[in-house]
Amino acid sequence: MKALKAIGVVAAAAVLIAVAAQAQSLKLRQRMVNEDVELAKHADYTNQQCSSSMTVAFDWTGVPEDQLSTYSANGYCDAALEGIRRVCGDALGKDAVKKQIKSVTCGFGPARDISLKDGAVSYKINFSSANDADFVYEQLQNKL
Amino acid sequence: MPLYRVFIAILTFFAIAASPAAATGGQQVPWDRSALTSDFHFQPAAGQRSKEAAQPAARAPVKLARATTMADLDAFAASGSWAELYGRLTDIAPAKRDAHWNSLVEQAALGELGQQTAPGGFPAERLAAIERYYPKFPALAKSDKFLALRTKIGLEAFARCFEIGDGFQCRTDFERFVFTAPVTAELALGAAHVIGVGLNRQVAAVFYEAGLDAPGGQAICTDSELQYDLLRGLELPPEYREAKAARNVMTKCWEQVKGAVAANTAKEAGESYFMHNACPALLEHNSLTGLLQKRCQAIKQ
Repeated sequence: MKALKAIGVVAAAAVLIAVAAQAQSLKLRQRMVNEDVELAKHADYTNQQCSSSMTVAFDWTGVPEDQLSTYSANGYCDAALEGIRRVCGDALGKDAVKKQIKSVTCGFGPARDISLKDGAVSYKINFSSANDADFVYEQLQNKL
Repeated sequence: MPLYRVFIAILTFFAIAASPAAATGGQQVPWDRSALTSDFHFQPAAGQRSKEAAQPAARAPVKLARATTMADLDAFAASGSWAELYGRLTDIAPAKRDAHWNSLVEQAALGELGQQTAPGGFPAERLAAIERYYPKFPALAKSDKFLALRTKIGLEAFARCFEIGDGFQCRTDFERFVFTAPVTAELALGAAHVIGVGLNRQVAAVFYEAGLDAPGGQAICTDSELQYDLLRGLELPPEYREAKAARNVMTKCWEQVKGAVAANTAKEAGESYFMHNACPALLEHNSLTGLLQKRCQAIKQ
């Protein structure tokens, strides 16, 4: 009888943990969806400013989940887009962005980084970095 | 003393002296004795005091009954009487101013200016002390000890001048001080730092430029402050004297500054003064790629 009781307690605990984890996961997924929605608005604005048609998306691989509720991922990605919008500040820059940037992917990494290959900008967000728009602007001046 | 005043004095004296003698039947006669040989005043009126009389006694040269000799100057030097030595240096005829006389000039300068190295004090006073010796005595230009002391005292005085004085006037005096030949690399570099901190970083390039032309000046290119000051100078309108100096410094120190100049160019937006100043050199050295290169090329055209 005692053994049955113990098994019942363990099973109940397992169910509770599973439910809690699922709730957490749902919350995280919902957060990511919200970030995607906000990022789409920034992308539209950037394409409008640069007369471009680039696609912008998150790569959620390796995202530090514990920080996602603290920091605005779309805000950090928009800092990179702000760097691109600055490049579009004159005709030469606008033309370069229009012709050479087809997509922007905001991922996550241990350090802030940016690369441009075959029209694809890969930007790594680091929540500890600062002045990200300046960084992207300066980098693109040489890479475009 | 005018003659009429002598008569008045004699008549007055006899008139006064005669009264007691007559009253006492000649028993009391006033006694007179004088050693005065000229006019006497208890206190001259303020307006009558000459400028010379207002000078401190220490500054008044001692009047020697005979012509000053080199031995006299040696004696002043031996006793550390620098102000007196200074005051007598030019008593020696120009034809007799030999190497020994030059060494006495150096001793006087080092001795007197050596007393000006304590912290504090008034900048104008210190600069006046320096300028009493140089460029008045050109031979001091060959004295490393004097030049080092002049640099130390001068830079400290001007740092204080920028701190408490009129910045514009300080700069004018500072340039006169620094650009009096010979301009040493040490003085020019120190001057760049002093004016960069005391007045404006953008102005410093003028002094770095002067130092680079001095013997051993190339070492200035590795100075820790130069890069920052240079970038600030390149932000000025290209026709400005400071911007021209910054471009010269950039050219002369290209290997040391090219990375910083290129990196700063990437931060610029549109046609900035910085781009106008930096692009020609960056393009000449093929230091740019991509969009930045195109932007610089557009500016150059």
